[in-house]
Amino acid sequence: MNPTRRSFLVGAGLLGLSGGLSACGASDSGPGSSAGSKDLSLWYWDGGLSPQAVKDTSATFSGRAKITTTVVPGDFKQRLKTAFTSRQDIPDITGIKGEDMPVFLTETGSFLDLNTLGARTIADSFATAKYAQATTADGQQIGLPIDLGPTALFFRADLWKKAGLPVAPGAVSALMTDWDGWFDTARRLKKALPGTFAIRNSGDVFGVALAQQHETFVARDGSFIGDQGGAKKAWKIALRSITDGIQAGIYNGSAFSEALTSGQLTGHIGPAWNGLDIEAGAPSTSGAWRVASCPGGPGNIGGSYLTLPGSCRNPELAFAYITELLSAANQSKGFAEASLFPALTAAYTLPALTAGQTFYGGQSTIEVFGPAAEHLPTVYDSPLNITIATSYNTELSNVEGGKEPAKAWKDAIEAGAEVVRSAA
Amino acid sequence: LSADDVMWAPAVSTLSRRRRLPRSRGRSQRGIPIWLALAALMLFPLVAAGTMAGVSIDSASRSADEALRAEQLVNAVELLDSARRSVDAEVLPTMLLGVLGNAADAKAAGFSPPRREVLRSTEPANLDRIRTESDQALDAVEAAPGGPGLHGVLVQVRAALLAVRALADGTGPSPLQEVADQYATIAGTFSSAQRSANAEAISAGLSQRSVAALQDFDHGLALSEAASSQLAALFASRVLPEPGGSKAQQDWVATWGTYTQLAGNSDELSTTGMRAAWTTFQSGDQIATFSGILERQALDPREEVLETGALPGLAWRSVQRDESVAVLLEYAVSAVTTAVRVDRARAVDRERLMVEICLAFGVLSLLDVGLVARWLTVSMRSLAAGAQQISQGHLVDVPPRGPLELRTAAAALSSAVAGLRRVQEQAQAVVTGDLETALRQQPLPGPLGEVVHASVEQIVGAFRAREALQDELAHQASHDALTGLPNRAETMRHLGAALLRSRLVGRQVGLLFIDLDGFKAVNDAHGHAAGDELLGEVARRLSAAIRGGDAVGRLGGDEFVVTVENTDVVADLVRLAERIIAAVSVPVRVGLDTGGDDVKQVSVGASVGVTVSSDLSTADALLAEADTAAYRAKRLGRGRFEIFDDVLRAELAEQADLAVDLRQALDAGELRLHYQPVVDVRTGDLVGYEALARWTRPGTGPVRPDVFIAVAEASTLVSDLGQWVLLEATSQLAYWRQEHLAGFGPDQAEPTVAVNLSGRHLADPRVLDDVSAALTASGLPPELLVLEITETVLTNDPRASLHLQELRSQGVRVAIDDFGTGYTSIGALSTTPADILKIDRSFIASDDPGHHQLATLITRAAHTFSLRVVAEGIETPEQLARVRADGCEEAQGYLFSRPLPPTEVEELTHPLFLIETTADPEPAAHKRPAPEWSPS
Repeated sequence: MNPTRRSFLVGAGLLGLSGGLSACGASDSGPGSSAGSKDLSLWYWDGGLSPQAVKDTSATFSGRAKITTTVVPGDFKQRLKTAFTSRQDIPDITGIKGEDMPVFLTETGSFLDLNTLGARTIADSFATAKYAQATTADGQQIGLPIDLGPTALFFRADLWKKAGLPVAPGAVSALMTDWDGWFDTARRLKKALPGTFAIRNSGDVFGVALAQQHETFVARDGSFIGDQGGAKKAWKIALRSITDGIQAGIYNGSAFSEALTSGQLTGHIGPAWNGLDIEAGAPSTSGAWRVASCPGGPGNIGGSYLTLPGSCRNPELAFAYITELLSAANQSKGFAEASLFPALTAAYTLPALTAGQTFYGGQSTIEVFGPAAEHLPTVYDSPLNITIATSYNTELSNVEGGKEPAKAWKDAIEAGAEVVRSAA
Repeated sequence: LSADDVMWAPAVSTLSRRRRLPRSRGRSQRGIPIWLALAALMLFPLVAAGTMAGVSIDSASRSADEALRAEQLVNAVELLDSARRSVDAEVLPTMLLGVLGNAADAKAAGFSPPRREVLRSTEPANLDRIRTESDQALDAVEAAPGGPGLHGVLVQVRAALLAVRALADGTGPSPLQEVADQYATIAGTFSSAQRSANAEAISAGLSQRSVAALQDFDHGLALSEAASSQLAALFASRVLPEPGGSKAQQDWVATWGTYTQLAGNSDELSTTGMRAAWTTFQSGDQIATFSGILERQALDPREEVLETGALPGLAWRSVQRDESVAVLLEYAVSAVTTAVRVDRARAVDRERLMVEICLAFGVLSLLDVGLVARWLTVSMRSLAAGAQQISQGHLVDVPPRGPLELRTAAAALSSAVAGLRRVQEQAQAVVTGDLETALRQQPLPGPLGEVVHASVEQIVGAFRAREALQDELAHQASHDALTGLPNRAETMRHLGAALLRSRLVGRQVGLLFIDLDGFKAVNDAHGHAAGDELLGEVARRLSAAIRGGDAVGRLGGDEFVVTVENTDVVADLVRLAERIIAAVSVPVRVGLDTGGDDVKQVSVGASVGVTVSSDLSTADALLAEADTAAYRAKRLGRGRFEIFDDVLRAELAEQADLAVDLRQALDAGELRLHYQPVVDVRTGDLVGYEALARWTRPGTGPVRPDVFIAVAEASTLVSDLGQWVLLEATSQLAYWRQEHLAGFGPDQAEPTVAVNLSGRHLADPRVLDDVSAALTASGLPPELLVLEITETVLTNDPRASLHLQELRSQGVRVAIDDFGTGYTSIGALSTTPADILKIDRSFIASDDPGHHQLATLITRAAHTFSLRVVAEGIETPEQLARVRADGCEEAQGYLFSRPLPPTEVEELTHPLFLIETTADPEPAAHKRPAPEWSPS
C-alpha cells in the first residue's frame, strides 16, 4: 500500500507502451493525448497539507515528475469551481475540504474514479467513515482522505485546576460521557472564574453536536429534516450554551486569540485540527492545554481529501504521487506540523503521533483522537447541509444578539426548508 | 629589316605605352566605384523606408508602453481595492466599540453586559489587526509598479484615516456620526480614485478585448465596494441616532440594492472567464445564504431579521464574502493582464516585425547593391584586366561576363584578340623563319588585315631577297666568279681544314699546284673573252679529273690547286698530275659564246707542282711548296709535273730566310723608297711620283724587289711593308710639299705620290687605318695619295673593292696598275672603283701593232669612264709620241727618269723633257736608267 513503487513502475511501463502504440497509430488528439506528461500541478490551501510533506514527496518524484504546487488563497471551493466552470487552469491534483466534498460528489464527471487507479486496494488503510464520505452513490471513489477532524475537548488544565476541576485527561474524559457533564464543568468554571467562558461561540457547540448525529438537515431521500432529530438535538445543546452564558460570542480570529491568551476562554470543543488555531492564537499558553473526550461522544468535522480532476495530465503518476503524499510517514509530518490528524489509521502507532506534545503538557493526544477516530458515527452529509447550517448559525448569532430563541428556531427551520425547496 | 627588328618593333611600342599607362590609370582611379554609385541610388528609398519604419515602430512602441501602463495601473487598483476593503472592515468594529463604550447604548443596541464586556476586551485586538492590515495594504499599493500614479490618493487616504482613527479612539463620548461620515468620505475617495484610474486604463487605446476586460474589472470593483460596506451600513443604520440614522438607513438600503443588482447581473460581463467566476461566486452556498439573509433584512426593514447584536458575529461572513469578491477581482485583473499582455505582445511583435522588415529591407537592399556591384565590378574588372593585358601585348581571351553591354564589349575585344592572334601567328612565323606559313595565313578581314598581310609579304620578300643576297655574297666571297671554283681564300680555308682533319686521323694531304702554260698567249691572241672561256673549260676538266672528296680551287689568274685528302701514296698524286696535264692539254674551242661566228681552237698546257703534307705543314707552307714545285716544272720545260723535294725545300727555306731578314730589315729601317716621276705627256710637267721599295740585304747586296715582295706576299709581312711604304711616302711628299722641293712650286699643280698595295693588304680591314694614319701623320691632303693595285686584286677578294670604295670616298685616288695583263674586261671598267689606269709596260714596249691597238682601245675606253691613263715604261720618244697620240695624259719611264732616292729627286730639273713636234723625241733625262721591275 505504500505507494507501491512496483505498481507505479508497472503503470509507468504500460503508459510508455500505450504511448508508443499511439505514436505508431493515427494521430490522436483526444483526452489521453497529454497522458504521460511529467508536469503535474497541485492545489491546496494554507494548512491543508504539511508543506514539508509536499516538498519531500515532490523531491522523491524528481526526475519522474515535475510538481508545481500552489497554495491557493481565499475561498478554495470558489476558485476550484471557477476553474472547472471556465475549464482553465484546472489542477492535476487538488485538495478538497471535507465540507465541500458533498457538493463535489454531485459533480462526478469533474473527477477521476480513483478505483480505476487502484484505490480499492488501499481503501482499508483509511478511516472507514472518512473514506466513505468521498464515495459516490454509484461507488466511484473521488478522493483519498488526508486527515480527519475527530472532535474532542480542549481545556486549560491550569484554569480547570484553579476552578477545582479535575485536570487529568482520563478523569475529564470520564466527565464528558454526555453533554451534561460538559455543561456542569462549564457552569463550575464560570462560577469559579467570573468573566470566563467555556466556549468561543454557540456555533462551535452546534457544529460539534451536529457532527455526533447520524442525520442532520436533509435525509438520504432529500427531504428536509432540520426541524427534528439530530438538528433539533444539536440546536438545543447550542442554545443551552447561550442561555447558560458559557459561550463568549466571539467570531473573529483576533478576538479568539485575544480571549485564549487572556484566559477568558477556559476551553474549546472542536475537531482535532482546531489545535493548530489554538496553538497559533495563544502560543503563550503552551503546556497548559490538555485534550479529553468530546462531550457526548466523538464526531468528525472537516478533514480533507486529495482528488484528481478529470483533466489530470498523468493519472497514474498523480495517483502514485498522492498515495506517497498520504503515506504514514508524511501523515505523521502533517500531524506534527499542522495538527492534521491522519486519516490513515496505520499512522496512529507511529512515534510522531504517539509522542507526548509539549503544547499539551506532554500529553499524547492520540490517546484521545485515536479512539475517537475509530468510533466516528457515519453521517449522511447532504450537499445542502453547509448552506442550511449557515441559517442555523446565523439564527444562533441572532439569539446571542438578543433574539427570541423560539423565533430564531422558527426562522432557522424556515430558511433551511427554503434551501431544500429551492434545490428541489 | 631583320628578324630582330620584327621582334623589336612591338617591344618598343609596348614600352612607350607602359609609360603612358600609369597616367591613364591614375585618372581612372579618381572616379567613384560602382558600388558607391549604386548605394547612392538606394539612399533615398532606404531613408524613406527607414523614416516610415521609425514612425511605425514608434507607434508600436507607444502601444506597448500603454499596455504595460494599463497592466500596472490595474494591478495597483486591485491592491487599492484590497486596502479599501480593509478600511471598510474597520468601520463596524470602530462603531461597535463606540457603542459598547456606553453601557446604555450597548444595552439599547442589544449587547448584554457580559457580552459587552467580552467584546470590549477582545474587539480592540480585532480592530488593531484590521487597521494594521489597512496600513499594510496601502503600503502595498505604494510599492506596486503602478502605485506612483495613485500617490495623491494614498496621501489623502492616509491623512483621513489618521484623523478618523484619532477621533474614534479619543476619550469622551464617541462621535459615531462623525466617524461614520469620515469613513464614508474615505470610501468616496477610494471609489473615485479607482474609477478614474480604471477609466484612464480604458482610454489608453487598447484592444477591444482589453477594454472589455477592463470594463469587467470596473464591474467587479463596484461589486466589491457594495459588498464590503454592507454590514457596516446596516450596523450604522441601527446605532446612529437621528437625524443621521435615517440617512444611514437609506445608505444601507442603497448599498444592499447596488450589491444585489450587480451580483445578480453577470450578463453585463464581457469575458467568459469572468462570467464563469461571477456565476460561481454568486451560487456559492454560504455567500448566497449570507446575502439572502441581508436581503431579507433589507426587504423587511421593520423586522429585525438580523439582531444588531448579531452583526459583529456576522462580520467574518462579510469578510469571507469580500474575499470571494476579491477572487472575482483577481480573475478580472487576470483577464485584463492577459488581454493587455496580448496587446503588448502584439505591439512588441509589430515593433519587432517592423524592425525586422526594415532590417531585411536594408540588408536585402545592401545585398542587392553589393551583388549587383560585385557582378558589375567583377565583370568590368575582368574586361578591364583583359583590355590591360591586351594593351600590354598579351593576347588573352576576355570571357564574356556581366550585363549585355559588357558581354558585347568582351566579345568585341575577343574578336579583336582573335584577329591580333592571327597577326601574331603571321609575325611569329616570320620570326621563326617559317615564311611559307606566314604567307599561307588567311589575311585578317578589314583594312588592318590587308595592311598586315601586305607588310608580311613585304617582310618575307625582303627577307628572301636578303637571304639570297647573303647566299650570293657568301658564294661570291668564297668562289671565283668566272669558273665557279672556290677562290684563293676559300681554297686556303679548305686546305687548312683538310690538314686538321688528316692530322686527326694520322693521314696526309696532297696538294697539286697547276700553272697553265701559254695562257697569256691565248689571252693576247684571242682576247680576254677567249681567255675566260678557256679558264672555264680548264676548271671543268680539272673538276672532272679529280676523285670524290678532292677539291679544285682557283688561286687567281691561270693558277689552280687540287687538294687531295687522306693520301699517303705519292704515286696516286703523280697519276693525278698526269691526268690533269693530259686533260688540260686537249685543245679547247673558244668563241662559242659569241654565237659561233668566231670559233677558234686553242690549246694550253699545264705545269704541275706536287707536294704532300707533313705533321708540321701549314696551308701557306704547303701551297708554297706546291708553288715552288710548279715553278720548277715550268722552268724545266712546261707541260710536266715536279714533286716538291729537298732541292725545292732548300729554295723554300731560302725564301723563308729571306722573309725573316726582310722582317728584320723592315723593323730595322733598312728599306728605302725610290721615287719615279710621272709626267704630263703634253707639257712635260711633273704630276707625281711612284714610290718603289728598295732593300739592300746586309752581306748579300740589293735584293730584287720582285723577289722580296713575293716573299712578303706569302705572309702578313706584305701588309706591314705596305704600311711602312704608306707612311714613308706620304711623309716624304709632305716634306717636299712643305719645303717646296721636288716639283712643289708656287705656280705648279701639286705632285701626287703613288703607293703599291698588295691584294692581301687591301683585303685586310687594317688598310683603312694604315692609310688614315699615314695621311694624319703627314698632314698630306688625301688627293695627293694614289693607291696602286693590280686588276687581279679586285677579282680575288670582294672586301678589297669595299675597302677601296671607302678610301676613295675619303679622297684618296686609286690607280689600276699593269692594266691589260689581267683579266678585267674593258667593259667592267664602268664599275671599277678607280681613278687612274696604268697601261702595262708590255703594251708600250711591244712592237706588235695589235698591242698598240689594244693600248689605244684601253685609253679610249678609260676616257669614256672618266679615268686618267698613265703609260708605264716609256723609254723612247717614239713610245711617248704614240701614247700621246692615243690621248694618254701621263707617263713614266726611263725616258723621263728612273726611280731615284729622295735627295736625287730634289735635284731634278723641270720639265723633265721638252715637248717636241717630231715623232722621235730625244730623251730628256741626263741619265739612262736600268730596266725596272714592277713590284707586282
